[in-house]
Amino acid sequence: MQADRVRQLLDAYGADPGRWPEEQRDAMQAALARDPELEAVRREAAELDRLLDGYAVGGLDLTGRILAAIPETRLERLLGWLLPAEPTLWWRPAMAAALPLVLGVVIGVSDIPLAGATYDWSAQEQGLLGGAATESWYE
Amino acid sequence: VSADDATPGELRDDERREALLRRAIAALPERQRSALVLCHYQGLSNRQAAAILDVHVEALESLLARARRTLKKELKDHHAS
Repeated sequence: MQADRVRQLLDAYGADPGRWPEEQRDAMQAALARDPELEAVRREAAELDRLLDGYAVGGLDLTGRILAAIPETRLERLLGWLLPAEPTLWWRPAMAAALPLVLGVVIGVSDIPLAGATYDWSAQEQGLLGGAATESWYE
Repeated sequence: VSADDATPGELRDDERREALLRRAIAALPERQRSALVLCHYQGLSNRQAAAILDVHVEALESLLARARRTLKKELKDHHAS
């Protein structure tokens, strides 16, 4: 792997190998092991990671806003990606009902109770199913 | 510094740093912020996050890199002031 590509990946994903693209982890580790300059870049990225990890992002409800801002036109494609091989529309009512659960699992919203849920998904569902994307998504 | 071990001054520093980071993240352009939240905080893979944001992985990496660059600059400027 070229040094420029290693820098690109560190700039994007930070220093934690767990966040690097899986198929590039070994090459990243090898490149870092043989180049002290790249290792210095990684240490710098690790410092920013440490600061970011100390911040509880949940307070801003950003995940809900991201989901709510997905344009309606992309709903079917997104669902197709989540649950492929369903060419007909018969599943859509059931899928819509299950959407909060599916997205909760996919997004990994660990602080949302899935059993006996009290979390209010109505805003997200409205944004996804009603297409009311109020954010400037294409910023 | 854990909350149990921290002095009042250190706690204030932590609170200031968190407030700064919160403001800096909130001020990011929407798509950069979304990319950061999905990848860094929610732990999605690059392909999953790119699919949700409806961009190619290369574009996702650009969003992430710009977000991290901005946050690094904000934090560095704060420490320098």
